[in-house]
Amino acid sequence: MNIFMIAKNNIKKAKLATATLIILIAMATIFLYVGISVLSNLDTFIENKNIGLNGAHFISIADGSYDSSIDEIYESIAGFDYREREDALMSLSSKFQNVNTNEEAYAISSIILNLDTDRSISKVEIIDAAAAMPENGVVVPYVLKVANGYQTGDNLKFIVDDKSIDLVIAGFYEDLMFASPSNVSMYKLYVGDSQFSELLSQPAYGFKCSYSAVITDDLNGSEEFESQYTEKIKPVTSERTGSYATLNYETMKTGVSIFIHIIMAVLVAFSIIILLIAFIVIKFSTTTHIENNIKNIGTLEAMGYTTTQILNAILLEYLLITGGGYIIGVAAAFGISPAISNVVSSSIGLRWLTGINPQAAMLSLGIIMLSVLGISYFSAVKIKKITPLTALRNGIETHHFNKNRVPLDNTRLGLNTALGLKSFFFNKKQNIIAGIIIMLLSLVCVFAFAMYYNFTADKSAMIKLIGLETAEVQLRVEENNDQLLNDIADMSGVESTIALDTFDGFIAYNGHESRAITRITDDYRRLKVDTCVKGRMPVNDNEIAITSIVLDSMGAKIADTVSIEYTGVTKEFLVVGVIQQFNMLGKGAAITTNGMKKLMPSYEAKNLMIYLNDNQDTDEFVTHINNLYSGQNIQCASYFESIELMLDSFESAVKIVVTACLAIIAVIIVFIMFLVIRVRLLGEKIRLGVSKALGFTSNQLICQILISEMPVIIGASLVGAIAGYYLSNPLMAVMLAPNGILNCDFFIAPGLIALTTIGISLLGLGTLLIVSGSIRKISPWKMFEEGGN
Amino acid sequence: MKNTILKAELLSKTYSNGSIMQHVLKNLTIDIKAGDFTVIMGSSGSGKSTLLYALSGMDKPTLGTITFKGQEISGYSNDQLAIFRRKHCGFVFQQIYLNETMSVLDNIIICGLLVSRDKKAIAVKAKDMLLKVGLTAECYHKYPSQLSGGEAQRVAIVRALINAPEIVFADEPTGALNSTNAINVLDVMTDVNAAGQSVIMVTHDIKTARRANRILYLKDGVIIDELNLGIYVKDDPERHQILREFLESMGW
Ligand SMILES: Nc1ncnc2c1ncn2[C@@H]1O[C@H](COP(=O)(O)OP(=O)(O)OP(=O)(O)O)[C@@H](O)[C@H]1O
Ligand SMILES: [Mg+2]
Repeated sequence: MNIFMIAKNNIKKAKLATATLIILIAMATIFLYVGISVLSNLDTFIENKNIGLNGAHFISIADGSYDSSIDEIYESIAGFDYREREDALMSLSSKFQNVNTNEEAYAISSIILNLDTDRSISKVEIIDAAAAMPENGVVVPYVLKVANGYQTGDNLKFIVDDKSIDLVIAGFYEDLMFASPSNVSMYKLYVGDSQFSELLSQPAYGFKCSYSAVITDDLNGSEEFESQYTEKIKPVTSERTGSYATLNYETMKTGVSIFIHIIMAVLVAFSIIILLIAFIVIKFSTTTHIENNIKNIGTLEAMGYTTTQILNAILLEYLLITGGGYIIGVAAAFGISPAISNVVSSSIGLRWLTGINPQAAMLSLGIIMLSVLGISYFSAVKIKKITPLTALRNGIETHHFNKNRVPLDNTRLGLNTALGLKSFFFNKKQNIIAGIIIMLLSLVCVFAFAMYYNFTADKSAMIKLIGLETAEVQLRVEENNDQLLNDIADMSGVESTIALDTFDGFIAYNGHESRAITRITDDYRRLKVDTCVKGRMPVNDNEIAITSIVLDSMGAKIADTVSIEYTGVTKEFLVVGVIQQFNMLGKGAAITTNGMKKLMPSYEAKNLMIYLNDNQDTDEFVTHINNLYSGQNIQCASYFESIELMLDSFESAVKIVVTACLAIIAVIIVFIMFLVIRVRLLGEKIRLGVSKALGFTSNQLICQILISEMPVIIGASLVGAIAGYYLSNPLMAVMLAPNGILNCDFFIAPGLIALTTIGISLLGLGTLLIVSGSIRKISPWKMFEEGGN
Repeated sequence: MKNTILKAELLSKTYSNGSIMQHVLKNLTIDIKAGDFTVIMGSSGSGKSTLLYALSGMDKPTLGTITFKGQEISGYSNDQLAIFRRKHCGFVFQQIYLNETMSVLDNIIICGLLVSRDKKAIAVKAKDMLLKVGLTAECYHKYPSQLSGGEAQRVAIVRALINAPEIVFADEPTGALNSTNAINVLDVMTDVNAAGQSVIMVTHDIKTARRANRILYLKDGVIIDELNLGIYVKDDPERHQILREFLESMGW
């Protein structure tokens, strides 16, 4: 009760520090709570969603002629439960355009199913269903609603080469397997019976295939199921064609959650930085509190308060502040839950509803409370050693009589500059604190800008992380045809071409085996995207480069010898480099064409990456090729556009997160400046009063404050920005490390250092002018009189 | 015969400033009786404050023992000392030391709450005591900076007395006050003593010292002599004369 009274009084007295702390803690709570609740629920959410819709564990899309063989394969794999097969239309060079949102047509391949088919696996539950299904109605993935703003009733143009059909969006569906183009760059669409038949009858739009969805006994065995399937289908399909795609639950689940994992990790990291700032503020305000109140503390002790009681009062003070900040934070988190839902939904492509999550709320409360109480205990525990007498007699040793760094008698500086510098040295401790905080924030600022720039404006660094080539067009031939490949390389509009194949390989080392999508090309120096982070790419036929995820899972490293098994043949390869890629969940490797020939002497390149000149329109080129070689067994489609499309789906999420971070940084800077200056003005009120009485004008005093604070702000923001310039990439790499990323190459314009420094300095200057303006209003007399309240 | 309430035996206090040892109190033995009004006098730096704070358990002696009603307190821990002070001691300081951020009433209540949980009763008692020292309702919610020096010191006295301590310690309580205010404050102290509470006061003002029935004279950490004046009588020229002669003989 009495302790409560002291705590209440402390809070009342330090209104500004209290407000700052409440805001900091509220913000830390928002980020921590959101981060924890999303991260902890994501897995079960996806799992439950899949269970609810009886989502497939495995999907294969193949030529209908293999239906019976495929069924035999299924039956032969342990754990197979049942499957559903249906006809589908596969369109590899399809393009889409939502006429209502004024977007440009973009290329993404698609698989179209009949909405009216009965199915028990991956049931279609339509969200925002049209009142009546139109003849040309189409049900599209939910991600298009949240990430791209599509609405029921919008006109969706389905374009293949120079033909197109107008469809009308009749609703959205959720399916983990085709949740987001960031995972599978293919749209799965549902159209009505008559529309489906009409499409099937027009071969120009695509080819008929068998789409089969499998349920197994074990959801978490789907990856294994897929690898067994791939292994077994190889000898069945002639020349490895005819099996178009396979998807499994585990890979898709990890895939859809990667990005949101990154975003939430950023949020949690940011909340930790805010907490760090809160700790600095606590340390600072506790120390000032003890210094300013040492006589009160001494008197209380003299009256019979134990130091434990006084310490408890200080702890109670922070407990109340933390409680307040926490409640505001949690309330705010609920308030912004629609925005959170949107960020999560648009990146995982499933309808996420942010509900109240008591565990996350308790966990963030626990983390924040314990750390705040710990910090305030350690910054205040020194009062336990203070006897009432030392408190009353000496106060705590605070004034060190430093060397006079700015002697007025022989300085060449102007009076204000000299006095400003004097107080700069005098307030060293506060300046250091303000400096550290501003430095941290400036670093975060650069990091946030860098993220923004590289996720939205220039995505090349992201593309590099993903590890896919930036070729505009991809061409697949069913049979190797050097003539055709050379012809294309010589075509006008083509800048260069490179043969780049991939196969599903199994790499073994020391008894450990790992799957890796292995790339094959002649000369890796000719690739536009260099994914090598250590060592070098393979040059000789016995060399291989492997991603760190695969290497780690096998316990191998550079200079070790691994073996690859391919259709019964096993060969050894020397690891000469480490590569990184998001693509295929970081499971990748690279060997040379000659290396591949060791595994399969008859191997010949079948996949061509085509880079176009800047002025060559991609769609025109694709149409031209498809028309030119129609009848020959080739597939030509735009390639890079679909990668861009998947990156676009992250854009809105990154924008929201970055904007929130920047706004919060600005708020924190303003509050910290307010706090530091207010504490200074209070501490120096006698000196300022005397100065005024001696004849200094308010402007001179304000000018002195500016001179004593601005170097700190400018210096700290510059140092922080430079640190941000050098640390953003390592920081990003640390956050992406679980995804096998060792090295980030985000572009950070050097101008960003200047921009951040100037921005933060101006913000600081504005705040300083506003706070120190209060000097103007106070008469010298008042300055002496004014109590701390 | 009065009972001994506070007793110091062979009390020593030594400060070390780096390599220099300063013996501020040297083997002092004092016996304070219940109900006494004791004044400690002596030149500046002779160790008066040091003695007062050692006696009251605000500071620990280097050597020697202090017993309160037969209970040795010199070995207490800091927390035990704090509990001892809240139960048995009241303090009045020269610099007053009211909490500037709390109203007059809160300054008193915060101390009352140490002993009682009944905030209402404490407030009633505080108001009653404020009235006795001549402070009316209009000052209850004032802040210390809005009071005159004398008013503030009277509030501090009420604060010291709120838990009815057996001993009131005062270190030059009138040092910062003008003569009218000083007399006001001393009248209150005299009333307190008349009501049965012991008072131990440090002063170097002869008019203040006149209030005491016992004067201890301290020089270089040793009590060189003492004077018994008997019960305080107002405007007694003889009493004043005896005290003056005593102090002169001490070389004051
Ligand atoms: N914490 C300390 N450390 C070192 N020396 C101290 C300390 N406190 C007091 N002293 C020294 O002890 C001596 C006695 O101090 P004390 O305050 O008791 O004197 P005093 O008799 O009360 O003087 P005054 O009448 O000026 O108040 C002084 O010489 C002082 O310098
Ligand atoms: Mg003294």
